[in-house]
Amino acid sequence: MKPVALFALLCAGALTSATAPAQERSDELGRFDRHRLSESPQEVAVEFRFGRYVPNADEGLNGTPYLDTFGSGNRYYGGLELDWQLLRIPYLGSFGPGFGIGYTKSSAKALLESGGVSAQETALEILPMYVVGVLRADVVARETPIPLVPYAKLGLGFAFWRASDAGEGANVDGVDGHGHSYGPQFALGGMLLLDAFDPTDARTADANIGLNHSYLFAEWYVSKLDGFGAGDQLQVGTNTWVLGLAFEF
Amino acid sequence: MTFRALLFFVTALVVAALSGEAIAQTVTIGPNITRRDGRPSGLSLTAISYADCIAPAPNEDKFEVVVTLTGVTTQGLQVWAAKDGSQSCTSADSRATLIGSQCWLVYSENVATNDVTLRTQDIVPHANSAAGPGSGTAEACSVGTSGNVTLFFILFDGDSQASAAATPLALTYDLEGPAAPTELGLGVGDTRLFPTWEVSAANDEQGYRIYCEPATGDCTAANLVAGEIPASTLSEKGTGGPSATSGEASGLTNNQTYACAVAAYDELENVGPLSELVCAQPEPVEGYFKGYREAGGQGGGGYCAFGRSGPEALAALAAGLAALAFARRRRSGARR
Repeated sequence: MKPVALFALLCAGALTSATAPAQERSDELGRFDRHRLSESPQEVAVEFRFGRYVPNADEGLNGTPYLDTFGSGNRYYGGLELDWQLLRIPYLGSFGPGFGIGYTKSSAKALLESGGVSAQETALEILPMYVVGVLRADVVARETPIPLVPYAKLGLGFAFWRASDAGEGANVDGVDGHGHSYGPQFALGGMLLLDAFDPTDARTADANIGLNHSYLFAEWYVSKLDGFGAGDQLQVGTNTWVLGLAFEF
Repeated sequence: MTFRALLFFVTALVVAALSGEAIAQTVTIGPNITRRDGRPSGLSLTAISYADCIAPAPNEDKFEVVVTLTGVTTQGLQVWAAKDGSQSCTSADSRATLIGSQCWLVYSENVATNDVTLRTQDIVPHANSAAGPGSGTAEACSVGTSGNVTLFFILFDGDSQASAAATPLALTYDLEGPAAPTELGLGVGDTRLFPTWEVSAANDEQGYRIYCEPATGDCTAANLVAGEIPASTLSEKGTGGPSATSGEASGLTNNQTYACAVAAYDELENVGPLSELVCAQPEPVEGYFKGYREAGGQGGGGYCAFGRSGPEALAALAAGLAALAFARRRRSGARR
């Protein structure tokens, strides 16, 4: 055999062994593969979320009161999402409803009407929530050595908000500084499967506490909480990124 | 001499060698102590504050103690005090009104009773203590004094010999508040002023009181004098916690100049001297929501809202959701 042919054959063999999907076996109890000899049922996903959150609160106004008061610096939010992986779509992944809730606060020293900055704090607190449909395409991570799970979310966002001055609820001309806003919301993201870095620990966690998979994730999400263009709501939605940890049980 | 007689003689010698007094009956002090009406409930019952010491009649401060007498027939009761645990007052020599004696009499009755009332001003060490019960006055309540006093409840028989003594009762007195904070600053708000300060070197602060009065003249106020203890009738405009270095004085009038000062107080609510005075005027402020409404914003006034406990509510909700998910996970695992 010529050296070139032998080399090509070896390369082909190397590539084949590197990209071949997990060996799939079956017996009278069903399918199993060399990576997942047995796996507990998987029904829910929990996300711990952290990211930048600057509300688009100046949208549609005659001025920029949010920017003037709080500046252009970043604000951050922490949140939690719980997904019910209701359906398994063969050769794709899971789909089901998800519910998320978080919290963020913007605060700064209020401006004096005579000019200058006072020593009194003014703040805007937001409690964003959402109900979305979550599609996770975990087929890539399940069937290939690539430990990535892309996903998409689409649904309805809803947020409570509260404006305060010196810690007390704001009130201007008899109107209390608190309310709610709602509107559409979507997100795109990718999850890095951590099981791939320590499969033994991953199997142990699954056997002991039912933790099927763990992920790091990054997400871009957009919420437009303006009442679907009603114009009578404080637009506390945002266009931002989120990072976090996710667990599937 | 028989052995029995010899034993009795030796015993008598031993007893005579020890103070020369025999203790027979028992007297015990009850656990409950009653102080003056209106005393703050959180203060220790065995501590004496400046306010306790100067409380005027008819509500002057006192220690009302229940004494239990056992095996007592006709006995007198005296209560003696000693400063800083310097000595016991159960011996006759210690009670003698000699120069250098560390004990003084704070109570005396020829016939012992169960209810004993001791005047706080008699208990606090004072120059006229040798004159006995009733000699203490508000002048004894000198600011700057603190220490410990031990009370000895002693029964006396008909021959004025001490016959029994209760377990001593230990008291403390602290008549001085913490040092004044320094480096006072004053920020402006809407009907509010925001003082800032540096913590004093003293380490017994339990909090701070903020006083603001309309200013007269060159940043002065009639009722606020730097370095002096504020009058107990003066009401504070704000407070601060034990480690606070800032606070808020509220309920003020915009565009009026106020002179403000801060004083620290200790665990017995002894208020220390006032800091230096600083002056400023509260002014109208444009908070975020006002700016939003002025820019044409229509949001607000909703029926649903969340309060200051938003983050705590979120944490509780997260815990609840996690528990629900875990419970459902366990049930589905059990079914399989």
